[in-house]
This record gives sequence, C-alpha cells and structure tokens, in this order.
Amino acid sequence: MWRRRLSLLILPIFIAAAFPTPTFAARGKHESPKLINFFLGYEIKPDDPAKLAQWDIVVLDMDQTFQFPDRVREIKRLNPNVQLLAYVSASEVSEARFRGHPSSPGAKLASRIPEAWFLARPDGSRIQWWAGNWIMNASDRSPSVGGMQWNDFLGGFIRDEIMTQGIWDGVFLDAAYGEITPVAGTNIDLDRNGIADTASVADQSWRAGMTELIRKVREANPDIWIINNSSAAYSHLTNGTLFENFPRDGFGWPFAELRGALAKNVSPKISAINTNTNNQERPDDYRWMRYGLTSALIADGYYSFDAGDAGHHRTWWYDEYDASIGPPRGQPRIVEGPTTNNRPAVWAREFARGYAVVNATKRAEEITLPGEFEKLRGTQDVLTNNGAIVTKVTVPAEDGLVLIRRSDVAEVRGAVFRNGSFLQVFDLQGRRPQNAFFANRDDVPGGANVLVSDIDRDNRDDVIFSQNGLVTVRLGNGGRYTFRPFGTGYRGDIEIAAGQTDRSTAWELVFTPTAGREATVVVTDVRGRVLRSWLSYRAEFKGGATVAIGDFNADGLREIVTGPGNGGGPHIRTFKTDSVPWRGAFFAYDASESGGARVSAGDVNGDGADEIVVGSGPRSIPRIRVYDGNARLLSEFSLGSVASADGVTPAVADIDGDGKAEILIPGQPF
Amino acid sequence: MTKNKEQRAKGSSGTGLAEHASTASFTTSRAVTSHLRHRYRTRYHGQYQYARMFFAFDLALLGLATFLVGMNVYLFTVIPAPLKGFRLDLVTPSIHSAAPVALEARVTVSGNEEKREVRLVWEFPPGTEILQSEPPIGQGNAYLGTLEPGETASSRVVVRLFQPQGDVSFRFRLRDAEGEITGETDRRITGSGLRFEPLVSPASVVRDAAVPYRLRNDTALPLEGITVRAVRPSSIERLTEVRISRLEPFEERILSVQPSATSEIVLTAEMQGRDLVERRESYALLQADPVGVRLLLDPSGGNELSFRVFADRAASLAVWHPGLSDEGHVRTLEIEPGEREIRLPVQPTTRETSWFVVPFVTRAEGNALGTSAVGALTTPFTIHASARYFAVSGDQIGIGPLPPRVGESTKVWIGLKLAPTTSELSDVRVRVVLASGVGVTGRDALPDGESFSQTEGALVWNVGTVPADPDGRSAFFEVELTPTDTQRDQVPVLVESVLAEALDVRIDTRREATFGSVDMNLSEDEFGKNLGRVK
Repeated sequence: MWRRRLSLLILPIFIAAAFPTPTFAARGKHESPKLINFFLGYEIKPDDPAKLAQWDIVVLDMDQTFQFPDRVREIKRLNPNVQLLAYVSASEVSEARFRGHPSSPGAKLASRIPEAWFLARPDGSRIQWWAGNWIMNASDRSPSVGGMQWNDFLGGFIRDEIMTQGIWDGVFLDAAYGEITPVAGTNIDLDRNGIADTASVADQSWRAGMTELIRKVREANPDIWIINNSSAAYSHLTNGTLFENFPRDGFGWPFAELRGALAKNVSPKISAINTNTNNQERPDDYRWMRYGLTSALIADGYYSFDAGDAGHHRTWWYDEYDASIGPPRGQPRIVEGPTTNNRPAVWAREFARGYAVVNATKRAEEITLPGEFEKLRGTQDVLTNNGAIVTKVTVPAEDGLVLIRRSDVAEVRGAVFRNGSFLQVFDLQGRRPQNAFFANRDDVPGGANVLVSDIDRDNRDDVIFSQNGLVTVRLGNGGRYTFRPFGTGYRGDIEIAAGQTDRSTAWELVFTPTAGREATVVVTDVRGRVLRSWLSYRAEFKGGATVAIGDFNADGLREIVTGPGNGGGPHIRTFKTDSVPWRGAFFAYDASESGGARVSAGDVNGDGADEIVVGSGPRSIPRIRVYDGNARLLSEFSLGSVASADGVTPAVADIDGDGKAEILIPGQPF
Repeated sequence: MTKNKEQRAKGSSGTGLAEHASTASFTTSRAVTSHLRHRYRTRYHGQYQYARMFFAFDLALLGLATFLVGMNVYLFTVIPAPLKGFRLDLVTPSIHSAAPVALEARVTVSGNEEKREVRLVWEFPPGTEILQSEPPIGQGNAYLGTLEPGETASSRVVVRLFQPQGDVSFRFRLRDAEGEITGETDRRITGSGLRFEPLVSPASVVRDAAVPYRLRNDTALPLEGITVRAVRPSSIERLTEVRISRLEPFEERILSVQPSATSEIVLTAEMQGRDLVERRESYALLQADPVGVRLLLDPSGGNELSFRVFADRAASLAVWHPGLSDEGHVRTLEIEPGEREIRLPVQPTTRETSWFVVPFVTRAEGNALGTSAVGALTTPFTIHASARYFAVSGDQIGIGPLPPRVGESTKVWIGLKLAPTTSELSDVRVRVVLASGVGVTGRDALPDGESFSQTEGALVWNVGTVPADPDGRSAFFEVELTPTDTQRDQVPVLVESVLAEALDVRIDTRREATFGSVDMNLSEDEFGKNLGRVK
C-alpha cells in the first residue's frame, strides 16, 4: 500500500518534469517601464493569467481568490516576481458584497459591518457617491461598536481574511479620500448625533480617521505593499499613491504631486499613474498612452493604461512596454519650457539603457539628446517608433517618446563574437528589435574571437580572446595569461565558452578548435591549466566544433553543448561539465547536411533556463533553430533564401538587459 | 552392516530396479574409492611428511580440472537459441566512396515480447571512418535500450567508406538480454567522392603532348593521403605516381598525364591503400599535331584571362581556369583559322597556380588532342571603397540628417575592401585621402585584424602581410561631415582617393591599385542613395 501511495506522490512530479510549462522569469523585475494593472472586472478569463503575468504589479478584487483561485495562482506561477495586490476600499462597501457567497472575503467583510459604521446623513440615512457603493465612516468621530471604529477594523480584517490566503503581496486601498465633503457633501453626521457636522470639522475628522485607518492597516500587516487611491495626503504611510485619470485634469500639479508622493512613500515606492481613454474603447490612442507612460517614467513611478475608471479591466500591451530601459540615471530635468510654478514643460530623464522625454506643452518641441539613441522598432505606431538612430527628436505636443540607448560592443557580455564583426540583433521569433552594430573592441586584435565575462568572479569584466590558436586571458584585476589549449601546432580559430564547471568560485574556460582537427573539448582555469578534456565527436572527425555552456534545465548546474564543424552533420551533443554525456544528442537540422552546426547558449525566452541556439552550417539555407534542454524545438527562422557559403554563427547575449537574451548574428554591412 | 541389510530388505520389495541401480553405483564407487585408497597407500603414505594433506590437495586439483573440462564441453556443445522477434532495416542514401554518408539502422521488435538491453553492433567494411553516431557507439555497439513490441529504434551513423565502386557488405550483430543474432546486407557504392577525369576525353593524342586530368574532392571533408599512379609507360607529371597530402573540400587539381606508346593510359587514385578510382583511356598516338594551333597564355590575375591563338585551321579549345563559372570550370571555344586574342571574365581564384588550354578537333572516332598550353595564375589586387548610411540589411549605421543640412553633423561609414588574393602579398597599405571638412570619428571596425593610423590628411589602413586569401580583407570606419553654407545644394565628397600598395611575393613586384572618389550620394546604399545634396 505504501508503495502505491509513494507512486501517487511521485507521479505528478514526473508528469510536471516531463511537460514543463513556460514561465516568465524575466518579467516582474520592477525596472522601467514599471507596469501596474488595475484589473478590476468581475471575471478572470482563461487567457487572462498569461497576459497579466507580464505586469510587475496586478491589482485584483479581493474576491478573485474565491471566484477564480486557480487563475490567480496561475499569474503567480507564470511570473513568480509579480506582486498581487488585493482591492479593498478604504471607505466604501459595494452592495454586491452583501449578496456574495458567505465564504467570500467580500461577504465576510460586509457581514461584519454594523450599521453605525456607515456614513450617514443627520436623518440616519446611508450615503452613496459611486452608485451601488455605501460610504463608510472612516473619520475618528465614527461611533464605536464593540470598542472599534471602521478605521480600527479594516487592518485586522485584511490581516485575517486576505493576507492569510498566502497569495497576496499587499492591498490597494481605494477611496482613501483626503476630504469627505467633496464626495459626500456637507450634510453629513459623523458622530450620528442627528446634527450635521460643519465641513471643516468633517474634513479634519475624516483626514485624521483615514490616517489612522492606513496606519492600522500597516500596523496589522507590517510587510505588505500598500497603495492608496484618491489622495496624496497619505503617501508617507503607504508605498504608493495612485494618480487616476492622469493627466486629464492637467499635467503640472498632478505631476508635481506624483513626484512629491514618491519622495515620501515608504520603500518600495510604487506610486503610479493611471492614464485612460475616459471610458472609451480606444487602445490605439498611442499618443495619449505615451503621454502618461513617459510622465510615469520621468517620475520613476508605475504606469497603468486602460479604458478608465469604469473600464479598469484591460490587458492592452504596447511596444513601449517591451523597451527595457533599466533604472533611472540622474534626476528628471526640464529640457524645454518654463521651470517654475509647475507649468507644463518638456521633461526628460536618462535611464541606464534608454531615455524618456515628455512634452506637456501645447506645441511640438525639438530636443537634443545627450548622445545617440534609437527609436523603438515598433509594430503599432510605426511612424513614431520607426527604429531610427537619433541625436535629436521632435516631440509632438502632449506626447512622449521612449528611446533606447544605441547598442555597442560594451553590451555584448557572456557571448563570443568576432572582433570587428557587424552584429544583427534578433529575438526568439526572428524579429529585429533594434539596429545592427559594429562590435569592435579597440583593445583586442581585429578578427579575434572575444568573450567578455567575469571569470574570476571579482565583479570586474575579464576579456578572453583567441587568435591563431593562442588564447589570451586579460583579467579585470590586471592579470594576464596566454596559452595554447590545443598545442603549438594548432594555429586555427578557437571557440570559447565560460562558466562554472565545478564547485569553485571562479569560472572555468571551455575551448574547442573550430576546424582542422579533432573536436576536443578542453576545460581550463584562467591560467590555461587543463582541468578536463574529451572528444565530443569521434577521433576520425577532423572538422572541429563549436561549444557553449549553459544551464539548460535551470538546476543551477551548467551543461556543455557542442556542434560539429564543417564536414559533420548537425549533430548536437550535450555533456555534464565532467564530460559525461547529458541527455540525448540530437540532430538540429537534417542529418544529411554536412556543414556541421554552430551552437550558442542563453536564456532567450526569459524562462530562467538557457536554450541551445543552433546556426546552420555552410552550403545550406542560413537558419537559426532554438532548442530547449530536452531537444524540443522552440522556434526557428531563416536569414535568407540562398545557401550560405559561411554558415551562421550565432552569439547569445542579453544586450538590452530585459532578462531575455538576444540572438546576435554576424552579417555583412557593405 | 546391519543397517545396510535392512535397507536391502526394504528395497527388495517392489520392482527390484532400485536394488540393481544401487548395486551398480555402489560397486563403481567402491572400486574408485578402493583405487584411491590403494594409490594413497602406495604413492603417499610414508612418502611425505604430510601425506594426507598432499593427497587431498591432489584430489582437489583433479576435481577442479575435471570440472573445467566438463564445463568447456558443455559450453561447446550447448548452442544458444537463435534470437527471434527482431526486424532490422538499413536505410541508406546513394553511397559514394570517401564521401560522408548518413546510414540509419532501424531495429523493430516484430514479436510480442519486450526486448531488454538491446544493442546493435555495426561491422563496417575495413577502413571505414565513423564520423558521428547517435546513439553513441561505445565499445563497438550502439545501446538501444528496452524496446516494446512493435517499437522501432534507430541507430544513425555518418561514415566515410573507402572502398572501390561495387557492392559492399554491412554486417550487424544484434544483442539483447537473451542472445544474439547476426545479419548482413549489401549496398552498392555508386560513385566516388574523389573524381578523376580528363578535361577532354582523348581518342587520339599527338606524341609528347600532355593530357590534363582533373582530380577533384567532391566532398565536404578534406581528403588526405591520396596517391595517383600511372601504369608504365604512361607517366603523370613525368613521374609514375604523385602523392597529394591533402585535398580540401571541393578543391580540384589538374595533373598532366603523359601518354605512353602503348595506346592506353591507365591511372588509379588510391586512399588508405584502396583504389577508389580507376581511369583507363585508349587512344591513338599521332605523329603529327592534328590541331595546328599555337597558344600564348598571359599570366592571369584579377577578373580576366587572356591568350593569343594562332590557328591553321578551325579547332576547339577547352579552357580550364578555376575562376571560370562554367561547369567544371571549363569553357569550350570554337575558333576559326587565323590569329586572335581571346579574353574571358573569371572570378579571382585562390589556391591554384596555373590554368590550361587544350586544343582539339572532334573527329568521327572522338577528340584528337593537340599540345596543351599552361598559363600562370597571378593574384588579383584591387581596392574598393564605398560609403553607407544604411547597411545591406537595412540597419541604420549612419546618424544625423540625410540629406545633410548646413551646420548639422551627419555621420556615415566608409568600407574598404581588398579583393581576394591568390598569392601572398606583403607590406600591404591602403591610403585613404579624405575630403576637406570630413573627419574620422574614431569609430572603426577591423574584422580581419590590422590597424588604422592617420597621417597628413589621410587615413592609412595597415594591412601588413596577406597570404592567399579567398575572402578578401575589409575594414570600416566612420566619418563625420558638417556642411558649410558654401556646400548648400552640392553633393559633398567624402573620400578624395584611395591608393593600395603591396609587394606581390610570388613575382617579387610592387603592385598598386587605386579607387576614385566617394561622395555623399552613397551610390551603393540601396536605402540612402541619391540623398547627398546638402539642404
């Protein structure tokens, strides 16, 4: 019996291992553009989790864990870094909560609210502002029931009924108004004594009570993320404040308030802009979307774009969202226009890998950029995002631009390239996300194979290059070593890979000759001392090989992959780092192709595991195929329609820092 | 004894068979033990200090020897049951000797039982090179694992067979946990990766003429250790055999064969001790030149070949030049009587050192060959320069306004290309004179090594020594131009001139090549051309 039980336990593990589903480990890095989605509809459809997993923060109604628990968990599974915030109103309760399933959090909340906690008129009647929503009395003059006011109650409820579910990372406190009279009017009776309170007393009491409410939510839940809506008055208590409908009511003051809120927020700071199409279904209002997005970028806030306060239930995605421009570098600054009184101007900010500019004025402005930047290669507004390399841009009125820093050789880390080559940039699907560039390091001979990586793990880049059979290692700490891993008789090209092959701190170097001799894999330390070597193909094969190293099953241990040189079939073999064959070998292309195959490795789909990227050999149509560690073909694309004389030698490096490596393929510039 | 009697009494009841068997066996046993006791008393007892120990040891040794003999007899006589329940199919494409060929053996379990520990042993013809295998062939066999009924497993290998054309046998041994089965199948080698043929098949040859033969590696792998033999009295390159240490993929060599007086040329090409190709040509030996053509071949380099022809009568010329794009690099020309110069466009070539023209006339019995001529191949030496704002792929590499605007900087890239060379050049330098107002930005790319340096108004690409180079050499650098008001509506010049200089090592002569100016109209830039007029 115990064996049956054990097998029942183990079976799902094997099934899960055999059919891995994709995850987006690259998502949720909370790097610009930082995205928040207020997905506040009643339903999470089956295809929504995969879309929502692309955001950094997703706000869902607290009842969604009751209505669609599997779909909420699916978001988290697809993107373990996503922050899920539960929607809880700080001062309203929907009538629908009272009709909900008794076990749902919303119904539990409603069932525990005594009549005395509702905001009331002097005649005792409840008050609504949003249709179907009763306003709660968050003031400090609210009657106590059982020794508690509404602002005492909510923090404990969030702790006991929401955070204990184990899926939520925090809460979105909606309707945290700064004053109550603009919402409920002046005829309100906070202490239910039958007499209306004056406006100033009502607003002061409300502010004090709401401050206490948020403070107690924090006190009851010290580690959660809290973002409030409707007022920046509480930004010193929360992680963020939402500026909804930005910039419909003007740019200057809300933008100043946003920056002020971010300055006061508790870390991690998540104040956000919600720009929307005012409850019209206009996802293609790209200018309006950019206007809000670039404002958020310049303030270093989070961004949400949807249909509006009655349409916070969208998964609209934009080219700009894919532009990973990294953390901000320096402060936002006005580059054109008035600099005082929060009047609309042209604001800009540099980022580690890009630049954002927003023109809040009513006329187009030409801006000189602090260097060479590249417009996005968009698929939506292709006139704006046309891929041009620019040093100046003209930004239309009430519009913005997201630019990426022009790639150069400094971004090519962890991948081998031929020094001086012209590298074209491809993604997993064969799209060209940015312009090609010359990869030329002045400190390395032209034509040498170069690898830049931190081999000795001292947080300084080391440069390894090979030419004419000689390998040179130049460490960031000044150390320099030269050696010939294949002896003095070999003067050909050497392929280089670097990675952890044992349990030491420093990485090791892996070499293969690329032509003219046996396909020997040689593993050395940085000084060239041979640690291990083996033949990746039979000794009779003298065509050399290419080699790469990666973690193809995301277990933290590296594997070595080889592809034979010219004259071999496209026969890919994988090894553990101690030379033992790892999982089955496979033919990346038709077995009859005799140009060999060129391998590289990297995480091109952002799932946390490296993929094997295989370029075709000479005399065949130039193609790229991407395989996972189980030799499963993930994608393929061709680079031409006529046979290539030289074949395709891919390099894989994350040059834009978005967590998904790009495929770099040498091409002819002229 | 009493007990034995009782047993005998009990055994006497029934058939009595037990009694007879007991008697027979005990009688033999008693005889053996009696003999052993006798041997002990006569050969051991009193002879040795530890007689019993010696006797026991000898008995044990005798017993062990008897056991081993018995076991060997058993193993020799027991024939394992033949293995059943497998089907093996060999899938082969057409096979050429010396060329890589992908073979696939498909093993299918045709019976109803699972087969465990299945291993396939390939037995290739002698001299076969195994280039790749999947699953790996370790210790001579490919491990296929456990196969279910109906399941098929494949063992794929890529091999090179060094066998003459004809049938070749592939033998297999298939093993599983139960036993082994062997099999054999024949396939035909239909061709050779090493091609050997005359440029022009001769029916008759003038005495003392040489017949050019082509030796070509038709495979994607180098062929090593080739020996080409001519059977006496024919000779090849005036020798009886020529050894070629290595023939690169798709490389071909032209060998001159001197025919013999026996009206037959017999040639063989061998690798790894096996004749892969045999050529046998019969011809008539002519005393007088049947063609009547004299040829003067110029040294050929660059993109053209040229020669002069003096023909007494109409004839055909077979021109072999490695840079000809015709099938087999051979162009056949029909010429009329008289004198003329012939020029043909060719691609620059790299490895070969000579080219040939074979004059012949075609008669009813076949081709009559005259005296062929040999020309030298020199290296081409040309330099090309161009400017681009967009790469061939359409990627933007330049920056700034295009068309250029007065007072604003526009950057473009200049590409220099030294054409492929066929012999070594040394001291190669390329001097680029930039136009006034044009400056280098410091960005460059040198994928083939070397360096840039700047001298008085010029940029110098120091290439150094260039061995015969099939790809040519390239270098790229970025220039910047900020047009002035005087250049408005003009197309600015970027590069005034380019001069390349080198020493041709083979002929010990200085070579020069020049290229004219390059302007902002970017004539070779498909995406940015004709936009050079300053606004």
